[in-house]
Amino acid sequence: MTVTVFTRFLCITALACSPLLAGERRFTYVYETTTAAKGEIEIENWATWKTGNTEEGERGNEFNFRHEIEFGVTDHLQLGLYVVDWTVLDKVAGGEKGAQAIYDDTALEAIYNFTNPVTDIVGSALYGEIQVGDLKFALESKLLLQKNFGPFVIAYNASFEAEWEGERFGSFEERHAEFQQTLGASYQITPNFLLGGEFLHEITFPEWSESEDSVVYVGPNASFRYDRYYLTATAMIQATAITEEPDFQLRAIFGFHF
Amino acid sequence: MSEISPETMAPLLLGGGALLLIGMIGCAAMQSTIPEVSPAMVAAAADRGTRPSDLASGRRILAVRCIACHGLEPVQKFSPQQWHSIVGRMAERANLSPAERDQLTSYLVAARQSLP
Repeated sequence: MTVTVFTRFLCITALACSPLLAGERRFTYVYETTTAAKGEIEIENWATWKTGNTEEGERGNEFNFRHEIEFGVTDHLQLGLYVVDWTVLDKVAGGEKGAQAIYDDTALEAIYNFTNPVTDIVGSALYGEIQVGDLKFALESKLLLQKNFGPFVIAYNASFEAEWEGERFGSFEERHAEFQQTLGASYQITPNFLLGGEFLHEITFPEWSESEDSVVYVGPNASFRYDRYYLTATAMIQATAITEEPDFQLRAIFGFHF
Repeated sequence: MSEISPETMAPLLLGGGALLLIGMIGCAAMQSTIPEVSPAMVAAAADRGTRPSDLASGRRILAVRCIACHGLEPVQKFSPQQWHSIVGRMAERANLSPAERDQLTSYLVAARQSLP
């Protein structure tokens, strides 16, 4: 990884995150069961950098961006709109360099929390998301579990996603499913600074049949918050040896709530 | 770095998930959560004209709104005067209405006064 590419990632992240907003997340890969309070509006901006092999199987860098507006309908139900999800591919395939930006999809999510991670034995919530793009359609559901012990928080997600892709919308020749588990632990060092770690495990099922190899990522995370702003980042390294998947990924979420 | 096969990983993850749940439940049983509204708390609050329903609302605000951003400190860590000051500082950040701010303060002060 060159300094140039890393600098480019930082610049893109800064641009994508300018005057931004969101709920104060402790994790970037793990969702928490807590939702926005009734009437609260949050804005989150995601930037993920993957390096090694891209999803298209070529050496290079991939930058994924999501821009989300969340709204607390009740103290239990939160709706979110991912206005635009887009990707920048920076390939280094066969000695040729090239970068391109691609619109992926627009998505709608809903999270309903059933129990509270402080007052109940385990906090729990269900998450549903619909992604619609010009070349894809996807449905995703997650079970979210969380427990807070004072400054220490542990959270677990199990998710299943079904995705259809094609040359144009409505003509989907490919389909695949993905099962994913994430686990996170975070400790509040001070009210403005938290440290922790995240674990990601995923299995893809091409054509909804036999599974591909499991991929596991682990890494540390940190979260800073000030006033209504926060920035959370996680660096993940692949703990398995799947050459078709990225070796390393870094995700940052910058948010603000009204 | 050695490769972990899917055959090995799947049961490990299932086992890990189960242990996690057991650990969560076990730890939850050992940890004291934010205090329930007790008769002692109601009595402490009654002197200031606070209703039991306000205390319950204050506890709910603490459990729902405050934990969205930070961990909760033990109620006994701060004096009633300090809780007034802390809630006053945090209310705007948490988008609490004046009524919600009062309910939260009433709960924290009553909980603090009812504990040794």
